[in-house]
Amino acid sequence: MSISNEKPIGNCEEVFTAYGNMLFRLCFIMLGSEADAKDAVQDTVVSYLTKKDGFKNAEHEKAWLITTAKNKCRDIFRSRSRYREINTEDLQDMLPDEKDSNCIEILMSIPEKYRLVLTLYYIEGYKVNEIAKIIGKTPSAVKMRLQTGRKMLKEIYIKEGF
Amino acid sequence: MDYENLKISAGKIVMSEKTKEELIKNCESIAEEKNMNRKKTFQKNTAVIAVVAACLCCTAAGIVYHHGFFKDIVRFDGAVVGTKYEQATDEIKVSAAADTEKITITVKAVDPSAYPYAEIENIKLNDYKIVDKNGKTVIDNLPLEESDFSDGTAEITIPLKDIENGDHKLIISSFVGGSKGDQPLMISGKWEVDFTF
Repeated sequence: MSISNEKPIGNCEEVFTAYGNMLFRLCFIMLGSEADAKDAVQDTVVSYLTKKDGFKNAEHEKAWLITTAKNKCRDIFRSRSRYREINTEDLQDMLPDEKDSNCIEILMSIPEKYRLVLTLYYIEGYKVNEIAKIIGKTPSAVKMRLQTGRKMLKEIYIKEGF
Repeated sequence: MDYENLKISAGKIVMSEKTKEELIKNCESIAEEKNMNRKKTFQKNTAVIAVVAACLCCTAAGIVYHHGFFKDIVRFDGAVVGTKYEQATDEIKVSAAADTEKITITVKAVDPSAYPYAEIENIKLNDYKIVDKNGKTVIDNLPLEESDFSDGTAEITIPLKDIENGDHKLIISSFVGGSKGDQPLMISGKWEVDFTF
């Protein structure tokens, strides 16, 4: 089976203009550090630029970038797992308003698999079926992760007294 | 929890122009280098064959230690659907002891604190076979239960039913490692163990 390459590989600047901030946001939330997020974005875009085949459409391209970024984050996570703490300085530099940084820090404090689905659902606006395709799980598994993730966030909010 | 606020707050996470410019420069340079290497590799097939042959000789002599690496699993349409771990031959040691009813395989990670072994909680054989002294396959991917993988070690048992006594060889091409709440990770390499029962 072959795919028609209706969306060819774009150049580096086009990718960063279209998806740079989205990829950086996703990687920063997943890794909790600006330096690690930059590494993950860089690896993702290099994989994109050295990819041989094009994409079916812009949606396919975006989903590919998210999946690749997620995998790059996982590799970084595994290789640097001895220091998985959130870099609060980076977070405060990025979000000087305490309300914003608290909100994101709580999201960053829940386990990776729940954080990813909540980010894709609530921040990037993906639907359950689309997330299922991106992360390679069933829609019901995604729903379960959303439910558990929401529960975890709620518990932390109550505990922290927000 | 107000998820609209979460979206608004996350929307403020953006790359600075300086970071963007730096990343564009890096990505272009790395991608160009990779593409150049790809072309060079293609053009210098003969040289590559010679180098590969030399590497294989070194491996056979036990001089080179190969490190495993993570690799994307890519679906037919180009979508990345998972991760696997390749070239793990030197990172896992396999030994076997057999009696008349079963073969017990000990799987031991050389460095249990290294990833992915530090994360794996259970392991099972994924692609394997047992051949007799004539090279005839007597067991081919018989489904097995997962075994606990703790401190980098697991014991896996394969029942030996209706198999003639004698010299045999176990050939393993991949394992599958699992941990709670995580996707199974395929670990591939090449392991061969001779045994007699």
